[in-house]
Amino acid sequence: MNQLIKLAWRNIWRKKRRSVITMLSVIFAVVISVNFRSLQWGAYDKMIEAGTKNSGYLQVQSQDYWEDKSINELIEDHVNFRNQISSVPGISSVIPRLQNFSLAASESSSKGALVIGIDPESENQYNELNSRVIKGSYLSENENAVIIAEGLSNYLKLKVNDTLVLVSQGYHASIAAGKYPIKGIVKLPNPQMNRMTAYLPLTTAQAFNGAEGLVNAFMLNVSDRTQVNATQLMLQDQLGPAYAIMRWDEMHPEIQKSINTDTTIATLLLSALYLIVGFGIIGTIVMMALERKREFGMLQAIGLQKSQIQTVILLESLMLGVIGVILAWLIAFPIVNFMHNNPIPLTGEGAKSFEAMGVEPVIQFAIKPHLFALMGLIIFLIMLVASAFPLTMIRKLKMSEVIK
Amino acid sequence: MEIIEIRNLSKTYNPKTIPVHAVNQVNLTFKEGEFTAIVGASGSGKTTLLNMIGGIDNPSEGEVCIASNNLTNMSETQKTKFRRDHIGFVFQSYNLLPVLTAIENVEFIMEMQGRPVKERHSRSKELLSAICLSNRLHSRPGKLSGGQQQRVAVARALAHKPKFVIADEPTANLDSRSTADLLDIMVKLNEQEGITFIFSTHDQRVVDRARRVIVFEDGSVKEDYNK
Ligand SMILES: Nc1ncnc2c1ncn2[C@@H]1O[C@H](COP(=O)(O)OP(=O)(O)O)[C@@H](O)[C@H]1O
Ligand SMILES: [Mg+2]
Repeated sequence: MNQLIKLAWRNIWRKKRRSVITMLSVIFAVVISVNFRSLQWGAYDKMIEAGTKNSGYLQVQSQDYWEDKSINELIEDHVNFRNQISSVPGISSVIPRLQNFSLAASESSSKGALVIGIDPESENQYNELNSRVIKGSYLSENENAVIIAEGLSNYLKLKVNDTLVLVSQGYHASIAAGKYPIKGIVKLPNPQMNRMTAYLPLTTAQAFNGAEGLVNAFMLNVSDRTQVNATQLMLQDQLGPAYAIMRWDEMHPEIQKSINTDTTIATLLLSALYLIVGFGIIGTIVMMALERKREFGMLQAIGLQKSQIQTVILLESLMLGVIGVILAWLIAFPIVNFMHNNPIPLTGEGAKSFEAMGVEPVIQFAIKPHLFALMGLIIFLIMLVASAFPLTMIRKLKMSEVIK
Repeated sequence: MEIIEIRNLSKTYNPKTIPVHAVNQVNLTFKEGEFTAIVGASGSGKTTLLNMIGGIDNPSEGEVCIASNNLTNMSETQKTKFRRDHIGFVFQSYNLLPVLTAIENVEFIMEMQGRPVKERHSRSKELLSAICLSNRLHSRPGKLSGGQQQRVAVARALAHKPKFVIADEPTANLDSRSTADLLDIMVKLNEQEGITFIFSTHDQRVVDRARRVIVFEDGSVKEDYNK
């Protein structure tokens, strides 16, 4: 085997130019595709981050909540229950919420609003809501005050210290009504949320809705996003069928859908790239095989089994691929890493389309090891496919006909 | 002692369309240590005969036995291993692997056989000195002349001490000076090592050096004599 490896290694340097071109095309394809996908994954991460900031990666809800989002489908907020949730491995924080649609009114006008009862501290720890306050200040626990989103405040022409009136149907058809001084105005990145959201401290919201000690959901943060499916299953196991455990992608189908669409387009583009590069490599390897027909015949005549000659050829292709892929990784990684650590802020139209989705307008690459592995694997497969011709040729080779 | 026995050996190309009887009912035996030239015009069937003796080509009829091993009954894999272990080959050209040096080419088969490094080195150095290329051990074939390459090919064919060496027109591409050198070496090694040589040629100067001459015509033995 050593002998065959040595032979393969020497053979790939036999036509230096050709091998170098093959490797360069591998490097080109892998570097381009890894960077392109890292850029896209960076955007996906931003979208997921924006979405999950407002939902958590998982939510514990009452079994029937999601369909109607009814204020009657609530769950009890007990310390024991929170502990039971956070005991499941992979769950890093448990954030209670009680939200309900309501009519928000000022003296001059009114508008539908989403009133979210939050635990100011844990909410802020999870999504830094405090940092979004542009006027006034953030909520503290149990106080009788509201903070409202910028868009809503503009619509209702309300300022800090004005009074917001909320009217809604509360828990079990009670009438919910309240007057709250506006403590602060927040600017939310998601434009839709920015037009309709008001935050009350959790206990204040519970009092407003007539739902003391109840919440509609616990938002959960997880320590490893890639394990969210497993965590979901474990949690479901732990809590039993009375509760629904929703995953972020179930709560934000639009994010998953736009990632899927984007991925499909990227797959088509990259397939075209790999197809071009692949045909180039196949052509080179076919040419190599045809040129060496006589050599293969000679080798078999002096006593190499066909399988041994095939091994040499396969090793040659794989070596070219492996060297190309490793070099490509060495080139691609620093670029991806740099673009990860130095995000480029967007301005103008580009920024607007990001902002419309509630996503921070920056270009920041994501570092995803699986992208490196995937592109390497594609090259590996191309090399195998390219070897099919020489391998078949050797299998069918008639020594007596080639060594004339 | 007989090492090769050929019985009723025939080869017909294109039997279904326009049959070419390249080798026709040939019976021959070769003894250990023989130095035999197969002589004949181009197209007389020399290559076809040698290929069948060497197990490179399959006969249409008849059989080839080497030291009581019937090549005709072997599978491709067995035959390939048999060639590696018991037969040395020298072709008209393209004998050597261009990516290996002279000494690596000579050692190649021994290495494939898994022989120890020490044995390989001493054997290949001995042979390279016998073919007067001790100073070119580490040259690749591309840096050697045609004559030197053929000498390395002879050394490779002999390196693993096969039962016999088949050389199909080994001098066809050489000038007369290199031809004479190559034959000197073949004669010397045949005498020193006692390994049987069977080579084909249509060059009278080569025939002159053989001890046994088989004249081939239209696929049959026309004459067979010792000198
Ligand atoms: N693969 C083949 N297919 C058909 N005919 C062949 C083939 N190889 C050789 N022949 C024919 O067989 C005859 C003997 O050829 P060959 O053994 O090469 O002769 P030599 O080596 O003496 O020149 C020639 O007539 C040649 O044309
Ligand atoms: Mg011939």
